[in-house]
Amino acid sequence: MSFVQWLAALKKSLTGAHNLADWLTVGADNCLVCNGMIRGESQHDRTGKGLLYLRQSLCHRCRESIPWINRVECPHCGRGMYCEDCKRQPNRHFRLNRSAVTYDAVMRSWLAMYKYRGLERLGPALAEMLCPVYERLTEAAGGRWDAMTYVPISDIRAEERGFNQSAAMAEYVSKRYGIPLHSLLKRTRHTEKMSFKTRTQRLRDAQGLFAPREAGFQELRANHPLQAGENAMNILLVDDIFTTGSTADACSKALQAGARILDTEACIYVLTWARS
Amino acid sequence: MKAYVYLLKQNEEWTAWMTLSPEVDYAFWFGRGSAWQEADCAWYWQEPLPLGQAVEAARLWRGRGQRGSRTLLAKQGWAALWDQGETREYVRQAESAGKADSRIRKQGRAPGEAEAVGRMSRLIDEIRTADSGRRRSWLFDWRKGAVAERYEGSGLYGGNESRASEGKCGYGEGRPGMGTNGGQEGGREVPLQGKDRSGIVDMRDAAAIAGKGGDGIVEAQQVTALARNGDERCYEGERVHSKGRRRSVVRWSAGDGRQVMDADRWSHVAAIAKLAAGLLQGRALLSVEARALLASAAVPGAEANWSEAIQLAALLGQVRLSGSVAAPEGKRADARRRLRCMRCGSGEAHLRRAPCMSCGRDCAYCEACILMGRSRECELLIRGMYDSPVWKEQGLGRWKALRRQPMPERLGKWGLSPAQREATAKALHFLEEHPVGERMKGTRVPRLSNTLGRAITKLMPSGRSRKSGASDMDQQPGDDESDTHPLRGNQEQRTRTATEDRYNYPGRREGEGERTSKGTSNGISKEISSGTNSGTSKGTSKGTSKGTSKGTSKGTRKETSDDNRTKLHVVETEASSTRSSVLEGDKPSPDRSFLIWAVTGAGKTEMVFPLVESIISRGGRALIASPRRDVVLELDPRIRKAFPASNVVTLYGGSEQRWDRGEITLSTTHQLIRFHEAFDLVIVDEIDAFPYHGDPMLYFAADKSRLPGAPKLLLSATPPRELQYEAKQGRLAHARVPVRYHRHPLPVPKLLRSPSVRHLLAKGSVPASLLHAIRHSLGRGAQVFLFVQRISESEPMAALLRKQLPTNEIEATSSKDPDRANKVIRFRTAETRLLVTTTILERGVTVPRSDVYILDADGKLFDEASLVQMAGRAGRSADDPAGKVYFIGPARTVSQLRAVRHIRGMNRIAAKKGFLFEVRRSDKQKEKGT
Repeated sequence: MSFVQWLAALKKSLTGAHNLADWLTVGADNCLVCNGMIRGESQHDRTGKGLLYLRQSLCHRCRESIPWINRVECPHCGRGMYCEDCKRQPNRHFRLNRSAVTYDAVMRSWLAMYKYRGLERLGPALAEMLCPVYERLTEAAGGRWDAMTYVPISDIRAEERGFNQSAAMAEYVSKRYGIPLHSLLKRTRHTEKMSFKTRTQRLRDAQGLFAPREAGFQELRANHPLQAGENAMNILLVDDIFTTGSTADACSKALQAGARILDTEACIYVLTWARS
Repeated sequence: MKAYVYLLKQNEEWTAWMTLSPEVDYAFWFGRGSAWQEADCAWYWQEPLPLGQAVEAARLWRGRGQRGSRTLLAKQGWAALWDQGETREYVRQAESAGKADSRIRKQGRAPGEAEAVGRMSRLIDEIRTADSGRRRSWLFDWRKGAVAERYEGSGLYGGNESRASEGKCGYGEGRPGMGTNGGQEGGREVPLQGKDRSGIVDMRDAAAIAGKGGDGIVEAQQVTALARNGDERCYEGERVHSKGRRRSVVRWSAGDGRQVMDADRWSHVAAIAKLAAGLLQGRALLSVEARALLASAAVPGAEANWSEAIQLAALLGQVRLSGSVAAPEGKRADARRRLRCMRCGSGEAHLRRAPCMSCGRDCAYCEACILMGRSRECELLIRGMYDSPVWKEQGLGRWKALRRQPMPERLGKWGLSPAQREATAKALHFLEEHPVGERMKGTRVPRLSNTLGRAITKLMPSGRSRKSGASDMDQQPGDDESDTHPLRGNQEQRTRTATEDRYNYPGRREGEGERTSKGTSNGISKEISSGTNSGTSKGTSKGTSKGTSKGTSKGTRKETSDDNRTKLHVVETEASSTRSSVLEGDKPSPDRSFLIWAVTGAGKTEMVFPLVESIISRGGRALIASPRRDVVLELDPRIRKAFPASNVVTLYGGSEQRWDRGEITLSTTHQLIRFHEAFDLVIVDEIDAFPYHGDPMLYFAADKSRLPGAPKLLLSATPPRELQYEAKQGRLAHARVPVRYHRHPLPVPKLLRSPSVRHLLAKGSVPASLLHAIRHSLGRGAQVFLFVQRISESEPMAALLRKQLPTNEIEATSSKDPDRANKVIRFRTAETRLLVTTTILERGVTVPRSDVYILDADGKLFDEASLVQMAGRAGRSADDPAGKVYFIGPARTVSQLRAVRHIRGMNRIAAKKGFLFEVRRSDKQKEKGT
């Protein structure tokens, strides 16, 4: 192994951690979710080797209860089972969606703790769960990302909640893999929480809910001039849950509109934490 | 959430204020009929600050000014002074000294406007620096700190702040003349902008001046000079921040041409404020919760105007506002100040920082009480002041009648046993005779009916138009009904009548707010300023309103004499040594706790009734709290039955009465974090039970929910050792009830030797001695509790017993059993004869005829308290007082022996005091003989 290769390997192994301090710490004392003891490995543990933080901060029981989507049944939306939605709406504005986990009762409670209760210490752990699926999605997308963005929340929600869970997840992934993160979208209006709505309401409400954020696109152009020979940008959109796909679709539409400002096309891939 | 800061000049004194809604403050101080407020002028910082910083700025200004007698008092220790009874004299002396000082000071010079503004600007900068220093500190929270910096860089989270400041005080730099009307873009600031702009200093000039000022601070001196030359009443100074952010300071004064909130709106806001103040009494709520409270009360228009209404209530001293996570008062201002959750009292170990989109910086939130809503630095905590009538001189008729009765008569109607009666009498004596009057009056709250009435009348007033019948607020009988305000015109009179018809708020009375005219104006302003001051500072300990305002004035004098910063620091350190009382949670009065140590099944609940009656007959509010929700639910019907005429509110997670307030509150201990000095009597049941025992958050909540100096009653069958020790030492007032209500002795446990449960399960058989005993119990028709240590052992044990026993009516339950409630019901109705369970059923369950078997009694989980509690499940009813208790295990442990000794000891005391039924005892001996 040459010195350069060795350096690259070292860099790669270091990027998984937040900073130096992460290397010095042994991890949390207790499980972030259930506060139980974190013991060593267990046989049924399907947590990937790269998920250092997850191993350090969740107990083996909680790790085992994560319903990873390892086999994708629906190639379009990344669901782990046969998918009606994609049959019904074949023409969506995004190319693919991939989700890390199935949105079951356990995941629902985790997300509720994080998103609605505001237990932000769960943030990095949930974000790290995106990593394996991100890697698979990158492969599917041809291994190149021009930008990464996230689904914005309204000002009222920002005031109330104090953080944007999608942005936090996107932030984590972008830091870990070195993808430029831009805020490319804005909300045109404030809506009630999606989780209280029915399917048709969601589909209707999401229409025209997002608009491209021009400043973000300008920034993107300034930081990342279009390479010769490329006619479309690969944009990765991050969100927490993919239910009907209406949010992802509306965002993708807005992103494509935004790309047209820059006189290019955009190819949108969606990375979500959970697929319900 | 963000807030604003302004400096107010009043009677030659500068005071700093935090506000959520500058519009309200402007109207309050400089609105129509401002004669009664007597504010000279104010300087208002247009840039919104994160809530915590704004509160801090106002507090520090006060802290630095406030010096003098209080410091001395604090140094010698409040508690000691109060105890010695010399305090009043002391305070009186201090006050007279203060008066003299203030006379001298009045002849002197108050800090000039420029000086004051400059000082405040520096203070804000200092807070900002200290704040960011604290946030950046590597040691504090390296992980989060690092994240924050990265967020800042990416602009994800900083965006909010810059947008806010641009929007709110946005002046285009290159656009000439924008300074005068640029604020109009800011939405909220519109009404505050001057109408008459002809003579306003051109912003470019101000900017130029600011530019000259080297360090970028407002050169207020120069601005002032400029303004004076131009004979201006309204001008703005602007500061160009190093990062390109601008900060502008605006001068307010009466009649400066700014648009005051119109009368219609003001009356609307005042009406909501009045309702809100009433609803919020004694509560400590996050802004979200307060809004839910207002919404639940169906206050019209509350959602749109809640911040204005809350701000007005705060100005009137009815509520206190602060960050929900903040540094307690009286500590230093630098980076070493430690934050605390003001709601649950948790320290930094439970706080966590995260970049916040609401205030645009790294913001700490509390993880300890996160299940009750997120408490964070930029979240508003609203604490409503409750003015208790209990310890006031004027008594209610009900109370007087009650007091006249001799003790046996008073207790007679509750049907107590002699032992209960004795202990209750002792507790009642403690409750009523303890000389606490002075202390209880500590918290000074301006009379709601008066002050708010005045605020309302100020703009919407006049005409004794309506008589509102029902009123839940007390009224000053001596309220004079003077005439309408001379300044008020006919038009206003009309508006007011109209609005009053629209908002029929409770408690509004005829003539109540009418005392607005000039004659009383001075007094009111004093009352208000002192009221609010005492609210945020140390008023509690003082007990008089005068003291507070004197303290402030002295402080300002100090500042006048010290011009330079070094001296200011001296003042600050001295001021910071003063102990705070309210925010810190440490009360000047000693801890008034009373322990009722009553054996299991002694009838603790009944004993509490006379105490509760005593408090509510005086118009007070009583609280009965328990760590366990099922205990609360079980108490509910009993309390309602005992006090049919009273308003009983039951609170637990998901309770429907969440926002109700009544004379008697039943609550789980967790819900108490939503209260603040709200009760005249706090009773905590099962103090040694999980989760209350050993959780500092719940202790804090229980302590802060009572008024300072109000009694706290602790109930337990097995008090923690510390309390037992304190009671023994005579440091803790207490009463013991050594006997059950049916006056039979407690069943004494028998020790049986048997292999551990693990062995039994492995072997698949149960020792004959145990089987024999259980058969005997079942044979005599008793229900059998069988306690095991582990959840995993409960089901196998039940299965094993089903094999070995003639009956199949055996079930097992544990905390992880979803069907637990039903199983317990089936057990209670004797459908199931034997229940294998873990410690979850160790307390709070009463099954009439029952025997108790404790397996693995030598296990670690079963300590003395736990064993005594489990043993207490047996023989609870009068029909079957002699239940059987067995401690079964491979070894005898200290815990087992202590538990036996505990039970025997109680029986001995009971016998000695003659509480036991002698006849029955001899019966029992006969029984034994046969």
